[in-house]
This record gives sequence, structure tokens and C-alpha cells, in this order.
Amino acid sequence: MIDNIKPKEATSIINSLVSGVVPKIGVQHITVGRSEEINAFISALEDVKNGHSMAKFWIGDFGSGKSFMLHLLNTVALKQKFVVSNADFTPDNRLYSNDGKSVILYSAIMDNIAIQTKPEGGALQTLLEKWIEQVIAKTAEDHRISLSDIRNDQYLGLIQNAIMKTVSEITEVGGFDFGSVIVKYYEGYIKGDELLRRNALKWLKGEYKTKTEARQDLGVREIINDSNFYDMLKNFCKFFVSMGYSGFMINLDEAINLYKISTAAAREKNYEKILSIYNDCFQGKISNLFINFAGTKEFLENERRGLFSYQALKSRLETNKFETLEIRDFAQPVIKLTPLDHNEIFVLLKKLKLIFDFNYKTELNISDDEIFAFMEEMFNKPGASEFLTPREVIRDFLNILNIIRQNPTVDKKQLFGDIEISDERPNDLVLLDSIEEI
Amino acid sequence: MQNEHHDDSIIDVSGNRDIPIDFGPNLRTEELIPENTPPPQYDPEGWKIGKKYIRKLSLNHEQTAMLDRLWFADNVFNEIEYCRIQILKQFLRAVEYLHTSCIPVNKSYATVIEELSEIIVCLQYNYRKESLNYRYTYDAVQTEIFNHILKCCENNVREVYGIKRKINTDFNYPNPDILHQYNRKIVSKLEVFLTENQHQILDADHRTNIILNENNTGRWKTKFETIKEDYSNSIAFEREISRLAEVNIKNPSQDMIFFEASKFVAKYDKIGALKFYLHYVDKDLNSSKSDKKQLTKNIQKSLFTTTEQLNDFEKILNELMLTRDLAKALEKSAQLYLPKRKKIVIDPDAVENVQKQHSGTVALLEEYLKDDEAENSSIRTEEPDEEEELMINISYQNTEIKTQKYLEDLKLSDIQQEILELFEKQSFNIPQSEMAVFLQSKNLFMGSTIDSINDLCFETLDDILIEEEDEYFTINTDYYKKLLNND
Repeated sequence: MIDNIKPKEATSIINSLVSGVVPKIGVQHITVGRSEEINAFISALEDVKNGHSMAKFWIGDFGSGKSFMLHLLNTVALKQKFVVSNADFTPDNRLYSNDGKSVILYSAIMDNIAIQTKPEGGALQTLLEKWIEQVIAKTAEDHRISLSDIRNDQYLGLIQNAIMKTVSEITEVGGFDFGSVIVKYYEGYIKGDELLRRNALKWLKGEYKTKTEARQDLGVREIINDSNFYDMLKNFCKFFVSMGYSGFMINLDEAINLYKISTAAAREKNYEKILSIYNDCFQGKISNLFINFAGTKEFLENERRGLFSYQALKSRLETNKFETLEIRDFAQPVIKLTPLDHNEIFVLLKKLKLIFDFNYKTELNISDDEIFAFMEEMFNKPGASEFLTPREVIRDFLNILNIIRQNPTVDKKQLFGDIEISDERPNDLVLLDSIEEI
Repeated sequence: MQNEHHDDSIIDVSGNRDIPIDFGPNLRTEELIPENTPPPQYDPEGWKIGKKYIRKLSLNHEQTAMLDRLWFADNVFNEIEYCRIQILKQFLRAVEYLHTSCIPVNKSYATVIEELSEIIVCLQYNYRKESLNYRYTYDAVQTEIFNHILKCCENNVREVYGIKRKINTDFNYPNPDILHQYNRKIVSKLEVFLTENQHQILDADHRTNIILNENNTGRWKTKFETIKEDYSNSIAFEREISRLAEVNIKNPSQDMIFFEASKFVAKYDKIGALKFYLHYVDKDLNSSKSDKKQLTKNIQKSLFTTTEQLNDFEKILNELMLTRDLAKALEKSAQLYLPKRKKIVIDPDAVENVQKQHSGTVALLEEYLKDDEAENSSIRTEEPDEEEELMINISYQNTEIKTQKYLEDLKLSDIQQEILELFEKQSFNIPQSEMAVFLQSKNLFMGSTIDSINDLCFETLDDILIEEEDEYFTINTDYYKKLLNND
């Protein structure tokens, strides 16, 4: 029997996993073997809700479930009224640069901002408008003006002042320009100037390339650039919290791309940026910010080009020396995701079988021994030791369940025997060692 | 080394040392006492070749008489019945050839053999032609000639059967003139015939080969070279070596066939090489003197790319030496290069523990993923509640009627209800531009207004009510029905 699962969740789980993606809902039902990690995350999430900030490093090899975990964090955080954004490091974006690559990362973060009612991202405009609505409501209340009247042109100055005042209260660096742009957004709305609104949004997303252009369009002196984008993220964090959100969670995946930066100096500058974020979070310089980095063991531990090549980070991120494989410390900033062991995969497959039966209102004749035989077959296929991931095991298992459901007389042993393992690793993974230092 | 059937007439030209010959008891028995035949009655002339083979070779009277005059100098080769028959057949063909194709110079002789017999008698003895001595000597010389031809035929058959040792074919009359005439008239012609007609000698049958190989321990090498030269694939090679080994079953050097085969095939077929080596070890163990030959280092390197493979093979060998179970060793060697099948161990206690922990995780996450009313309201108190409180003042008169339409728990404001009704009127599909104009007229932001409705309804629906699809806002009608107050 399977408890507490909703039909919608079961359908989402089965459909998504068959397609090789993490389900949107019901993800808790397939989170096997990650209890400690989730406890650590939930505890961190509570801390962040209470005003602390947190930086976590999710470290695991290809297929160990990093992206799954980030997805889970995303889902839980959205439900917990966090504003969440996800972005991947790529060769074209990074935390530190002086050729616009950092602003590209910032733009990606701003584009992907999600809230519960807009989980797919693109929620910046909604949040902005919600915030302005709040300021309007507050101003109306303070000045005893009705909510419909206060939107009239005559009260524009009043609202502008209120926006500027509120922004200056919550921001430290670049607050004036930030406030000015929000005022411009409101002006554009009140005056029906769609272009002005769009320009204001463009500025907030870091899409202005030159100050001149920004001054002409919006009358502001500054633009968001490589050097101030992090301050702007912090401003947004405060901005979201002031609206009543629990905090701002930023998930940055594929951190191996920082490891791959070929110039040692540029790489070090990026790690320096990670250090300053880390220090801000743990020294209480910022509140309600939860930032997650996901990368491979190489990215963390390589002494020549990983985070450990930067001494200040190494001393902070080194594993608790009292930790062993059995005795783990999940309160550390680094959470190492070990691949699921056979017992955990066995439980996961059993669970999936139950969810499958529940979804299709069937009861497939697959014994525990047959699940075991399936696993053994999978792990003995050529290539399994190199590139078999839980994603593939799950997908093949569900595909087989689908075949059996539609063809009950099929020979299960032969089905298991027909499985082929394909290499789903990204092409450049094997080339990492060949990166030349400049 | 001498054997009990030593024959001085045999000259060893093979270079191989003599090997004692052991006629298998079965074979000997079979030859001596054919089954289902009555015990032979004594025939004083039964030993004569012509009499003995009259039926087997379908001899005519003349042939029988001729063969009766001959005798075999018994040796291990011509004692094999099959070989003896082939020798006799080749002899009959050779004599036939000499009779028909070699015309005597003196027309008074019917055959060249008669002519030569006369020459020998004249040159050697000088008897008067009509005398009794002449007649007797003439017959004896002719018999000598036939016997010499018989020996040449035996060597011919030996050659065809790959026996390097040949019997002595020195002619009994060393007189140079006789030898010259004999060589010119008989031997030179006979040599041509025997070379050209080797193909008429039938291949040795299975049983004969076994005996031949038993007595000639290096005989397999010629056939082995041929097999090597004809190599096309490992399966065919294995089959041929297997046949070769089969006919060498009594050969004490049989193990060497497998050893050489293993060496040769190593560069083509690793498993095949291992199998042959196992066969070698098996035979070597069974031989009286074990050689325990090792494959060369180079071959070993090519066969075993990892020390694990080498160790595994050593294990197979040790087990074979211990158990002598060749079939099992062969089966195991066939698996040597297969990727090792990984055994998965499922620990019931660990599984139970994982299940327990997972249940805890599900419960914890359920807790965090469910819509927390308290939290929702605490967030809302800062925004929509205030907003709502202020907005209720704007159109208070309609509130009672409107709240009856939608669930009261939703706490939808007038404008929010108005928007939902607008959706209902427009079949739950409204272009975003149209909605923007509508909300603009109400001085409301589109994004935040739509989101506030979604936010209020999320708890009830556990999903988003108003979704953006291309240029439209849409509402799922099932979701909409859930918001209606059925009372």
C-alpha cells in the first residue's frame, strides 16, 4: 500500500520520470535515501526564514542527484513562500568578470525568478507590481485617500516619494537608482507609457549595456554591471522580504564551469566572489538569502583549480575531520551527495511500482525478486559502471512496467535482457582533464 | 632403440628417434579375429599373398600367381592391413604399367620384366638357356624384380602417408651392368609412374591413421603445418585440431599438438588459445612424463591484459590439476574474458531502515509542502488583507451578493470577483491585451492583480487558477467550478 499520495501526484511522477525529468509535484514520494540531506536543508530553510542567511554546496558526481536535490529545494522553498531563482553556470556567465559575463548570470537569475503562483519563472514583474501595490495601499492609508483615488495623476508625487522612501529604507548600495527605476515603472503604468515600464524592467534585469542609454531612457546615472550585480541581488532579497516573502533562494547549478575557467586569475576572482557571498551569509551581513551551489567533487576538491585551490575557501569548506561514511555531518556548508546504494534503489523501485499501480489502477505481477533481477541486469550491462545513473534505472524500470501493463504475458526476463545502457554524460565531461591552464 | 618388430631392411631417413610401438590390444584383436567368421581351416599355402588377397583385391589367376611369389619383409607399416592393401594395389598398377607401357627391345619377350630377368641371368650366372638352372634362376630373378617393385611401392605408400622412414630398396644384384640396365629399364620408368600415380593411393582411414600416428610420433607436424597455412577462422581451426588430436589419440606426443595450437591461435583467438592450453595440460598430466610447458611471456602478455585475468586462469589450471575435470575448466576459461557479473546484495535490514527513513522524509516534506493556512494568512496580513479591507469600502453594496457566488473562504475582493466573472463571460479565455485595458481602467497592475487571485485560490486548488497561454489568460473550468459556492 502507498500512503498519502494524490492521483495528480502519481500521474506527475510517472509521466515525468518516464520522460527523464523530475516531477513538478509529488517529488517527496520518490525522495529515497536522502533523509539526512533533507533534514539538513529543512533546518537551513527554517534558519533562513528566521532571518539568517545560508550558502550550501551540493557536491556529487554525475548522476548522483544534484539537480534532483536542487529541484526539491526549489519546490519546498516555493511552498514556504520563498522567492526562488535557478541559473546554471555556463562558459558565458560567471560570478566575477569584467566583460559582462557576470551580468549575464544576473540576468538569468532575474529572468528565472519564481514564486508559488508563477513556478516557471518570469515573476519579477509580478513581484514588482505587488510591491508597488503595497506601497500604494500603505500611502493611501497613511494619507487617508481611497485606493481608487490615490492612483490618480495628482497623487503621483506622493507615491513616488513613498516608493523612494521605502526603497531607501531597505537598500544600502545603489538604492537611489533602484528606487528611481521603480518609480519610473510606476510612472509608466499610471501614464500608460508601456515603453517606460519595459525600460524600467530592462534596467532591473541588468539588460542595459551603457549608462548613456539608461540615462536617456530612465534618467538614472548607473546601470547594473559586473561589479554591482551582487549588491543588486541583495537589494532584491530585502525587497522580497519586505513584501512578506520568507526569503530569496538562488540555486546555481553546473559550478564545474567555474572550475573550467582557463585563466587562473579569473578563476580565483570567481572563487573570491564565492568567498564574499559565503562570508556575507555566515557573518550576518545579509538576511534571508539562501544560495546553493551544485558541482562535482572536482569543482570542490581539486587543489589546482577547484575551490580548494583558494586557501580561504578550502579552510571553510573542508570536510569535518570527524565525519566518516557512516557518521555524517549535514550541518556543514558542503553536503556531499553519495550515489544511491543498491538497497536505496531497491526501495525506490518498489515505491515506484506502487505509485505506478496506483496511477494506472492496476496491480502488476512483479515480485521483489524480479525487481532485484532487473537491478542486477541493469548493473551488469556493458557500460553500467561508467555511466549508469538512477535516472536511467528509473526510466527503464517504468518503461518495462508500461510494457508489462499493456502486455501481461510478456517474458520479463527477456525484457530485462534487452536493456541497453547509453552514455548520457555531457560530452565535455570526459575532456575536463585536458583543459590547458593559461 | 629397438623394437620387437625390428627390420634391418628399413632405413630411417626421418631423423626421428625410434619409438616403441604398442599395437593396441583392441586393434590387434580386431585384425586377428574378425567377428562372425568361422575358425579358418588350415591351408598350407594360405600364407601366400596371392591366396590371401585373392578376394579382397579381386585378383585374377595371373595376378594371384604373381603375388604368391612375393613376400613382405614385415614391418610396422606394412603389417597394417590397410597399408598392405594399398601397397599391393599400387604394385599391381605398377606392374600393369610396366607390362603395357614399357616395351622390351627384344621382341621375343612379352614384357620388359622378362627381358630384364633374362639379362640378369645372363650377366650374373651365364647359365645355358635350356638348362634347369637357367629356368630356376630365371624365376628367382623375376621374383626378385617383383619384390623390389613391391618395396618401391611400399615406399611410395609410406610417402603418401607421411611416413618419413623408408625401407631399403637396394637391388640384390650389385653388378654395375645389371644395375644400369635395371635402372634404365625398370626403376626410371617405375619412379615416373609412382610419382605421377600417388593420387591413386587411397588416404589412410581413421584407424590406420591412429596406428600410423602411434608409431610415428612426429607425423602430426606435417598436417599441423597444413592446418596453420589454411587458417581462416578460429572455429575451423579448432575443428581441424580436434580431428588431428583424435587421430593422434595413441600418440604420446598428442599434448604437443594442443600446445602448438595454443601458441599459434593466441594471436587470433584468446579463448581458443586458453582452451588448447588446458587440453595440453590435461594430456600432459596424463602422460608418464609431465613437461609442464609454459606459454612464452609474449603470448602470456597478449592473452592476459590484467593480472586479474592471469590469476583467474591460474586458478582454473590449479583446479584442473586437482580435479582433472577438463570440461569444467574449459567452461570456466570461456568465461574468463567476459565482464565480471556484479552481484548485488540487498540487505533486508538496510532496506527496512531506508524505508523507515523514507517514510520520515515523506512525512517531513508533506508537512512543508502542504498549504500552511497559518503561514499563508500571516503573509497575507501584510498585503491582501489590508488591500481587501480598503477595497471593501469602495463597493460595499455588492459584497453580499458576490460572496455568495464564490467560496467565502477565498476572501476574494470585489474586483477579483469581477475579473473571474469576466472570465466566465468570455469562455474562460481573455486576451492579455484586453485584460490590461480592463485593469488599466481600474488603475490596477495586471501582473499583481492576476497573481493575487492565483495566490488566494492556490490553497483551494493546490494549483494555479489563471494561466498564461501565448497571448491569453485562461482558466481551467474544473478549477473554476471548485471556487463556486454551491449553496
